[in-house]
Amino acid sequence: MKLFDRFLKDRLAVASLAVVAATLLIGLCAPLIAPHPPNEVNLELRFASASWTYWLGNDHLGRCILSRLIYGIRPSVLWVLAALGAAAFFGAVLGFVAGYFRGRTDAVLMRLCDVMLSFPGYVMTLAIVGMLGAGLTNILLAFVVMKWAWFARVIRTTVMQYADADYVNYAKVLGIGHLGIMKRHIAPAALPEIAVIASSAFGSMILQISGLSFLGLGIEAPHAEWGMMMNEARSVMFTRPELMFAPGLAIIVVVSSVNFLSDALQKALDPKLVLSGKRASILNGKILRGLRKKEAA
Amino acid sequence: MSLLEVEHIKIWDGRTGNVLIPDSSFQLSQGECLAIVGESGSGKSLTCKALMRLNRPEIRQSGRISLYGVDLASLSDKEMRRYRGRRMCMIMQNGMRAFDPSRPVGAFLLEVLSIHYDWSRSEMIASLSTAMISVGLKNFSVVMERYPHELSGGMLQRVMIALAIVMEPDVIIADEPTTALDAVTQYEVVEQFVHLRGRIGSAIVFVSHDLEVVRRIADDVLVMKDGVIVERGKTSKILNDASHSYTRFLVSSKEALRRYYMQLMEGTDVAKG
Amino acid sequence: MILYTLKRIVALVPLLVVISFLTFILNGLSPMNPAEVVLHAQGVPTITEELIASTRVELGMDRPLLVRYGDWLLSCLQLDFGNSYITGKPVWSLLGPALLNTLKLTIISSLFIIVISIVLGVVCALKEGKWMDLSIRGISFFLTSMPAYWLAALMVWCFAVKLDLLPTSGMGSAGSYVLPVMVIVIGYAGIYFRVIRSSMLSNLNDDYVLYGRACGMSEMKLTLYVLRNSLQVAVSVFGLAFPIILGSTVVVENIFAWPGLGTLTVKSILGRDFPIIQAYVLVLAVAFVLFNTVSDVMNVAMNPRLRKEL
Repeated sequence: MKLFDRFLKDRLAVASLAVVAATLLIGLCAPLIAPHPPNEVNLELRFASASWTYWLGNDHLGRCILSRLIYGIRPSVLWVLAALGAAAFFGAVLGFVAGYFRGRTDAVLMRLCDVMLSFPGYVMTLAIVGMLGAGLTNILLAFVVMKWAWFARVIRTTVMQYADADYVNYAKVLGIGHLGIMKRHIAPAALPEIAVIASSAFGSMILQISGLSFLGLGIEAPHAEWGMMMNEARSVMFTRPELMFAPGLAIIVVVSSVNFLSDALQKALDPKLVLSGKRASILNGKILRGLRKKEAA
Repeated sequence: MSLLEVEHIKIWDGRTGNVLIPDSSFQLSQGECLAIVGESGSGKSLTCKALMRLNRPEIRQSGRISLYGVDLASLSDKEMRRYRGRRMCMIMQNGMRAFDPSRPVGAFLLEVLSIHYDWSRSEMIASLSTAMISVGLKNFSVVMERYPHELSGGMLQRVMIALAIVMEPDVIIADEPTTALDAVTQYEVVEQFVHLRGRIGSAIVFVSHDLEVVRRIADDVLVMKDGVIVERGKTSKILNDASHSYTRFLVSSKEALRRYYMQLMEGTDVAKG
Repeated sequence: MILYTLKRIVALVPLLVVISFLTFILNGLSPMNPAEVVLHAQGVPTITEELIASTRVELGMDRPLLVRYGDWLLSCLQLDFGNSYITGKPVWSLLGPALLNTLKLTIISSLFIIVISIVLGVVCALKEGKWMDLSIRGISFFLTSMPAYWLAALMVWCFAVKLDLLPTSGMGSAGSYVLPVMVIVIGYAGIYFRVIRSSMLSNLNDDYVLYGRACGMSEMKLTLYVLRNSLQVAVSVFGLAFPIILGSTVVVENIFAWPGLGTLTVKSILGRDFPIIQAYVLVLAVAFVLFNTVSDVMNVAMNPRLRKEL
């Protein structure tokens, strides 16, 4: 596929892909990789600095920071990916239906999306967490609710462009059913764009979830989560800054890689990025919609 | 002395070092219409823009471009600016995109005139209106107030031609002006060019890949392939009895289409030209 | 033009109704019975079925849904959002001042964001590909990948602790604005300047610049026209940015102990104080929709091309 060829040529892009993939893998295999149980309390090791057994030292309860960092990948990155996937999936289903069938279905679905999109993302997240209570599942649910409408809208625009193509009309003439057309003709073409959009939302979602955990609205103690680790390190921020350093750095590395990946995917999708007329307005629309998603923690 | 003498122009990409046009030379006499033909990518547009030094900054050029003896390549930016629009006019391919979308057409025209002349506003409007009426834009004041997206491509082309009529330049460079138009409008715009030649004595450099248009309007034809001038000669000779094999190939492929078209139309209701 | 504005305003009404209704039934999301929540919040030790039932009647929760909605909506329009479950004080007395404090922060941040984004965007577009463009983009990329609290912690450590220049918490002097504003501005300007930059780049490559140059226009004039066209995108972007920034100052307020909307909301969430949460959602959603509409109208006013599509 041309997309991947262009992508693989950019070495930095491949590097960021490697970082993200490694992070996901480490998170999945956390029990196998982490040197110590993340919740193992050793009060005599409180605030110990880095040693040979505990590579990154210990936190205020004597727990191994490195292990907590590794296990923290799960809520901070993996679960976010899952929520992203769910939101993208629901959004894609609705976007495909709306963009392909148009007419009344499209109008109704888009009104629905408009209503959902009238609530700024952060507000909706806080509302749902507020009603259902703090906790990881509720935050992830809030993410899905917050994002699916956005995905639906953007994917619908993409599908509309492809649904108009001649080869689709030809397929219809041949008598291929709607589902078949969507699966074989539109999906492969729309998939790269969906990947770009999803990856651009990934970074900000990671930041948001750790932001919420930082505020105490996220995962419950004693589970490890990067934002929460930083919250716990707050009280000793000036005496032991390294406690805040590790999770913060982890977030920066992962989010930068994800953002870089997303940029690289976008460039691979459209290397020229020389815009004019209609394409410029479409891109500006995407940028504007992309900005609605950016609510950095 | 020729009006325009282009000597050993070399154009290359400053970033990659790629040579796009190795060595081109040609002349243009007063009142003459020279057509530059060739396939896409043959360097026609680059050459044209190079004449007015309008290529992107990464594109470098060397060589002598002499307009009435003055070497344009040696002029400073400020001096070159005075030449552009006044002594040399350009007519672009896509009328819709040639104008600032956020300003009415009239505002742009008046501003261009004010750069080169210090006429009063009423004088400017008077000469613009005469020019526009002569190119067939009868609702002059309406056109002046319109935004570019409110006018059709053909109308915008005529506006550009009208501006050229007012400026009365020495050279008009038309970069594929009819390519973006439909067949009927194409015919009308080409007629405008013919009319333009009658009105003012400018030399015209007309870039096109449409040999029919060339047949109608050009005195001489320059054939380009991959950045090199392959042949030059009178229109009738090039189109009917060319020397270079590439030219013969180019002409014959278009000729085949033309013959087929004429056959279909059976000679009736066909625009003469 | 006026017709379009009126159409948008009219279209607003059903949207606002739907939003308010959704916010109203937000309460129903909670797995706990609202009456129970009230009692919990008030710290009542034993909660019996009868107590719940009587509280329900007391709070008027036994009336039909639409009636309650109508009542609630009417009182909302008079800025009466009910009383806090915990303190019993009227919601607006808590929300109002908090909103004001956050507004102060947001307005000042927004001004800086707009100026910095435009300056950086234009500079990077004009020097595209050169050292300055690449380094600014690189640094901003890095900075926007940072969690706000990390950045804030860094700045607090640097300015307040080591250099002892600025206050680190509360909303006291003008000096206490500096750090929170800086954190917000760095986060957002880093994103928005890229929008301006790409808008300018696409305009700079447009044919009308070439034609203008071919007619003898000076580079300065052309750049100004390009700027004007590019800023149209900026207006709609910034129009949307304001309510977004307003709603997401939560973390910054938390770090700097700023007595604003974010702090109040977090406290209410942890204390299950539903009326405040509800009022927060309603106020911000309405603000968002209004800003959206205004920014759309301004966009159409400035860009004649869009009017054609209406």
